[in-house]
Amino acid sequence: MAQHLSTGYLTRQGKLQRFKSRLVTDMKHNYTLYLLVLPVIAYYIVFRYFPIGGIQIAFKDYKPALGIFGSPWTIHYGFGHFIDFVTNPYFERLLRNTVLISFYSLLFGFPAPIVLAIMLSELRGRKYKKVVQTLTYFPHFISTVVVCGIITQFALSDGLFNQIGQLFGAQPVSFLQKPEYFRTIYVGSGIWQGVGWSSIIYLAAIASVNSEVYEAAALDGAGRMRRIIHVTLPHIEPTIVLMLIMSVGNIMNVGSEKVLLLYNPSIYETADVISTYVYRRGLLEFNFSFSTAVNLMNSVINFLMVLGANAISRKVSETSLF
Amino acid sequence: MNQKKLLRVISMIMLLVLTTSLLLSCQSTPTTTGSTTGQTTTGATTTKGTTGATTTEKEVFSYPFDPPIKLTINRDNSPYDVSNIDPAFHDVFAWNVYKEKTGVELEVVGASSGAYEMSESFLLLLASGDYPDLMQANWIRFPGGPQAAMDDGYIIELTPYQEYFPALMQVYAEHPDWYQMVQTDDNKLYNFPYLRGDPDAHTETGMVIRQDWLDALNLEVPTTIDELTEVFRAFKNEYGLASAFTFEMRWLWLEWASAGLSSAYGYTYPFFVNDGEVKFGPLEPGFKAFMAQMASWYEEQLLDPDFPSINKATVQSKFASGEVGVAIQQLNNVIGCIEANAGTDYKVSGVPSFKNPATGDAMFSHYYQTYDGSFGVAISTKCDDIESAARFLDYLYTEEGQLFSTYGTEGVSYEMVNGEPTFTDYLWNNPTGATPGEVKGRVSMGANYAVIRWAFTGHMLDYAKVVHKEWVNENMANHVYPATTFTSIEAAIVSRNFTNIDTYCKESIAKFVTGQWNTTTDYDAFISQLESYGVQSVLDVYQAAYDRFAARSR
Repeated sequence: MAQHLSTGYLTRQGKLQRFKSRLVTDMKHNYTLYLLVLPVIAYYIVFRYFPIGGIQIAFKDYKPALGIFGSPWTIHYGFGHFIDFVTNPYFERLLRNTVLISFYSLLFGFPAPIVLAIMLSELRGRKYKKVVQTLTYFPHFISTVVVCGIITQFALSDGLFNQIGQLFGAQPVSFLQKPEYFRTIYVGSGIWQGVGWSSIIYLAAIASVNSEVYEAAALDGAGRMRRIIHVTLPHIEPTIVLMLIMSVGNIMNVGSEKVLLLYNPSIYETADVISTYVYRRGLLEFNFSFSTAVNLMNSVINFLMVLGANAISRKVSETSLF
Repeated sequence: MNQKKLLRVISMIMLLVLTTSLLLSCQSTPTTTGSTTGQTTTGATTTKGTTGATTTEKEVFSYPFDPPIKLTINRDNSPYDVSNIDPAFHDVFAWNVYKEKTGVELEVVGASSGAYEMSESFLLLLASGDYPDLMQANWIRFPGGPQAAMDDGYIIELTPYQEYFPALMQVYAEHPDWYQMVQTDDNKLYNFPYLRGDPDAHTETGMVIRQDWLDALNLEVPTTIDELTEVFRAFKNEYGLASAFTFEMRWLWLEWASAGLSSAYGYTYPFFVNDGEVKFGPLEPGFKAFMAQMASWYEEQLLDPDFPSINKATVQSKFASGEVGVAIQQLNNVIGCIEANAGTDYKVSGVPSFKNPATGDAMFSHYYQTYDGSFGVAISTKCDDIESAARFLDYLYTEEGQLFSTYGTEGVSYEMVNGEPTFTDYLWNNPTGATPGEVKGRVSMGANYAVIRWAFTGHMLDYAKVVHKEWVNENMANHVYPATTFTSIEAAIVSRNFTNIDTYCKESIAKFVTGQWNTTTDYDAFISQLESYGVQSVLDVYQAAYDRFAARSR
């Protein structure tokens, strides 16, 4: 046993030695390449790894005057801010609203660009296609503030939505005051704004499909729907899966910006999310530690979600992120 | 994404801290040495140019500093930037005149802070350890209050340097109530305050009503809630309106903006003071009655059904176009409405605060406090020449400085007529076509700096003045919860509990008004929920802070 281990160790040691000597030779040979990569490595160390140390303020009562390292640890062995947040009477509602908005965004917002991309790729007229594409990209470039201003105006009781509704005999409703409409408005406007832009990656994936495959399928008598189902979709499946895994990693991130611009207290019940709560609380007391703790918690959950989605996808579809 | 952002922010912080500290350490030395002692004492008329002689020369100090000196301050842009200003104003531009009169040039370091909250970039400046000579921020909002800012070594206590700001001390001597506001609970002075000296400057928002409609219907400006309801109904029916009354919902809890209305119920949100006792509005009996009244207006569609989701621009356009006949608006928006209807019969009146039938007086109105900490300028611990900094800041509190900061330059924008400063035609009919308000904004320091704000309505046209006059309610000064400071333990209690209470109250107010909740059936549950959120502990903190405030020396 001991013998075996030690030889293993030695071999590993030997391998390491060999690797080192090879590395040195390689470095001498290709030093320009190493020089070239140096800034990138430095970038990652300085901007990506070094700041990770700052996460410790989530476990501390951070005060700018004392600095990151000098600030004292919080109560409950450094978990004071986490406990504070989880035991908050609003915690359940914030979590539910955040996850549900994410979930609906994923459920309806994720397939939308795929459908659009497939429809665009099936279009014949080049000009028409270009026009449609440009029109669907366009909302992406409007700032959130403007989009929310438009939505707010449209949702008023005498706004566009109600004027359309009234043509069909509906009673006017002030949509942004009914908790039950908020998620629909949020997710719907999100799709309207992002669908064109997100479809680009799928369009690129579809474009890479060899046209001979389509021709072969057509010769075999496959109609348009069959070609989509049996040729297009399988070809862009890896892209879809990768995008899905990455989206799942954002489940806890509902940005405060858009919600802040759209919500008002009469719909807090469905609209108040973690980020907006942290924002409101931050107004009373600039508590970096509390917001770091909440964001750290979100990130850990997001990370676990990505791992989970990745594992499932590896089993089910043999495509995975890592 | 968020985590990425956080990392990015932290790394940017690191980089910023590194670079700014490098830059600052190079820069600050020459600027501050340029302003070190000696020059202050040689300043002005006398010739004794030696240091240490300040006490004997105190009487003979006069502006400007000679030779000129430089001081650093945190702002976003140079105050002397005139790139957006009509060249006709460059010579009389207030900051340029201020520089000439004091002989002090300000150099910008770091970022400005918010009027109430300290901005993130300002906190970075604090974290960097390299502060400008002068730091403008709301020090009351510093966690632990101004006392903590002094203890942590950001700003200096000014009390020992009183001899360097005689004009400000003179102002305090004349206004002991202001003196009470600007000190810590331990009677220490810490900044050069922005003071709303003119009682008129406290009120900028209120209820407006279409006077031409009232006249046409033979009605008076309402003075009770019942009369107001009658007016709403009359407007709605006679003019075929969808609703008669609108405002932004946030004004049910922000800045006491709707306090003139809720005054009828002796209620306002959040805290107020009655005979030394701190009250939390929703716990007061008037809250229930006010909510019931609002709900009935909403139910009857006298109140705009969209009021929770509209902004001030929408309110303005609704009131200007006659979609509603009554609104709660800021004065600027009221002026906008009047100007949009110039040349028509359009006429508006301000509605004074409503009297509470139970007590017979109107307690509340919209209110900006005389001193709430905003825009105050403190002297940092990194300032080498405290005397010069203090004397520089003191200038705007001198008689000359107050005239300048309010009226601009004598002989240009104002003249003394029978001993009273009076705006000239330069302001009323400026050759560039600028409005009186714009001209005043350029030639005077006016606001949002360490100054006393006077002549708030001085440059206004009559139609704005008459509206504004009705809103001003002197009683409010006795009931407003002042700018107290919390200890760090108190601040933690308020932060933890009040965020929830505030969220819950706003949400509940919205539900009560829009009829999702009923005041008769849901009120008790509302109160017990508030209690479970620790409303009493918060109220105790506010009371304790108020008691310390009341005990300050005057």
